[in-house]
Amino acid sequence: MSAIERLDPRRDMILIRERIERLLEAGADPQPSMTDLAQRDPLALADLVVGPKAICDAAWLGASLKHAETLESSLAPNGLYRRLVSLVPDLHEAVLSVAASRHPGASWLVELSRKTEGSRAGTIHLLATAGHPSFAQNCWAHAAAGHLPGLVSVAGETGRPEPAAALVAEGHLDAAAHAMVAALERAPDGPVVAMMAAAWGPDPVPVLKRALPHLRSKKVAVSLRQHCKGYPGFASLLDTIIKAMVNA
Amino acid sequence: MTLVAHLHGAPDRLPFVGHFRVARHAGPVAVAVAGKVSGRGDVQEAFRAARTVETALMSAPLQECTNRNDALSRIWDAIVAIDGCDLGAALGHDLVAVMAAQDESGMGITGPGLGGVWAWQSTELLPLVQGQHPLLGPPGRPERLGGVLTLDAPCSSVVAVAHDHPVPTLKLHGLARRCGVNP
Repeated sequence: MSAIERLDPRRDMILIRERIERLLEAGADPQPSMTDLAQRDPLALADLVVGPKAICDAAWLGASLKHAETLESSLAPNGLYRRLVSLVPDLHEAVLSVAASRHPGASWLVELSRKTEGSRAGTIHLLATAGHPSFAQNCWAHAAAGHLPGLVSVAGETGRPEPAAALVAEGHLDAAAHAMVAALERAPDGPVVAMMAAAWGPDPVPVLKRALPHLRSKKVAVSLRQHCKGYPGFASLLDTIIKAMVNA
Repeated sequence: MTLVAHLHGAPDRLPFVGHFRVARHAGPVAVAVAGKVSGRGDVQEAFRAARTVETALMSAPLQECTNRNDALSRIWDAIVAIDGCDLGAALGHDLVAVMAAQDESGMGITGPGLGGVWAWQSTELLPLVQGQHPLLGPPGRPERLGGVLTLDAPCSSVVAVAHDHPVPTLKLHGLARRCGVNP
């Protein structure tokens, strides 16, 4: 039940703020009151969520993510999600996930990812958009921003070839090789070598060689060997390595 | 005597789909081929097709070639002999290739599907073929190749754009990268 249903947002904002703060102190669910406010006055909701005197409470701000559409009608998405992350850094994963699902191809997500995820920048954005047509574009944007560990991580979690291709296209050869192996671990039949060649050039052997230190299982080495049949010199080198490998 | 050929990449996120490149030296003749096949097809399928072309080019019998024209002919025969099913969805009808051969008396350049060819020198690009020229024709694998451009003064590196390249001009800056040549 809303704790503010009898209050007028245009007149009673001080009271509304006090009631919500009291509600949160008591550990009650702020969602009914928030929904009530969102329906009656989206600007008042935006003021209490991301305004200069926003209520900095994790439960309150976490609940606000369900009203992202309403909040975006009052504030540009870029500023909205940036502000939410700055108000409650612990919520950054949830904020980034909502932002990425609502704006999968937005370029500002790249910088926001760096700001909030640090060394794993790009992971949340790319995982959230792995099934979206903007995924390749996003991989290229994060590669250009130098978000190498994030891209390698996404390659491993999704098995998709785009992270490795984006990394090699941006000249991050070691990370590209690492991402290639990670992708093959998840999806041994995926076209990661083909896509790297399509992004880099017809002779990707220098990149393929950089993958060797990352090969930790015979299964992945055999998979890579299958994809490299067209490069006889490298395939022969891999044959030698595979023979010496003991792990499955 | 070294000779290399390059095909400019497409203006795309994946510029080199289906690209292949081979350089060989046999006796008095040097041969270089660069091209693409199934360039608008599935990435994996195009990759396989391109490797198939490279394998065919590497195994073409050049040892007995006595001159550049003979070498070009054998290279083309090797390409024509590939089963169309191994060349992607278009069965090789979209093949683009710049083929160059050089011997002691000069150099010959030919190939299907080209939109322009340049001599790539260290400080400049010299147009060899542009506009309306018999060397520039449709892609594919005709039984017999069209004309051969003959150069008395050989150049060690040639670069071409495909017939469907949107801007048939080239800039020297960053050209290697745009041809898929990496340090």
